[in-house]
Amino acid sequence: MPTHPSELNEIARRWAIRVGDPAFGDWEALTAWLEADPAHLAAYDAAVDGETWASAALANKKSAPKE
Amino acid sequence: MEAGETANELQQVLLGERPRLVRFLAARGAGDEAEDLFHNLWQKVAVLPDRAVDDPLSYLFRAAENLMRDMRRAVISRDRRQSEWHGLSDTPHDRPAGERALIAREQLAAIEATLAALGPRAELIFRRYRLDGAGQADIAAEWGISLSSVEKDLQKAYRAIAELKARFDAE
Repeated sequence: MPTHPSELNEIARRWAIRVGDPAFGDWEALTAWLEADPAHLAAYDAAVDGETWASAALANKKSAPKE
Repeated sequence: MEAGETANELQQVLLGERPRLVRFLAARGAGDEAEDLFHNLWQKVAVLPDRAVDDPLSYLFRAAENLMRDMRRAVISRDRRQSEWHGLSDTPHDRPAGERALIAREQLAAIEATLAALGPRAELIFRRYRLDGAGQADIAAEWGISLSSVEKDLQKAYRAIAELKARFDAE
């Protein structure tokens, strides 16, 4: 049964959040989830892109002195 | 034995766990190139100082994940350069430096406003998790809240950021 796109994005973001934890160790479950459907990888990449985009912007501000 | 002549501990684990790591790389977007990327990983591990790692297998999966993130960044910036070359794209990167800086400031302000709108706890938890690299268990302990509350706050933040990024991408 195909997953609704918004639901898939929610699940993908949950994976991105979990993987972001330094203690994450469930790599085989992540592998199995990615293998289950090609759409999973695209959604996961998008979730990581969003997280990286926001973190990089905030980190840049933190490290760069005010103009 | 001399350094460089024998596989270090991580390389031994890498070899022993080759099928699992190659399978992960393939699923993570490497596809047919998974074996090549495994070799890439091997070379990266070879130059690391031989020191003890708490959980070598998890460390190697993490290295594989980071490798795939680096690859994706490289592909995205290559595609961007190509579309600029052909004059096909109208992304912020085609624009002059001054305008790019303006857009970066605008995006930062929007990210900050989006996180602030979630309430102070979700915002601080997102920053602690993403910028300080704190684990969810540590954050839960610091706030005296459950792990699932931390997860819910992070989910709220990630969802809001994704919606914001989609708006910027559509512009």
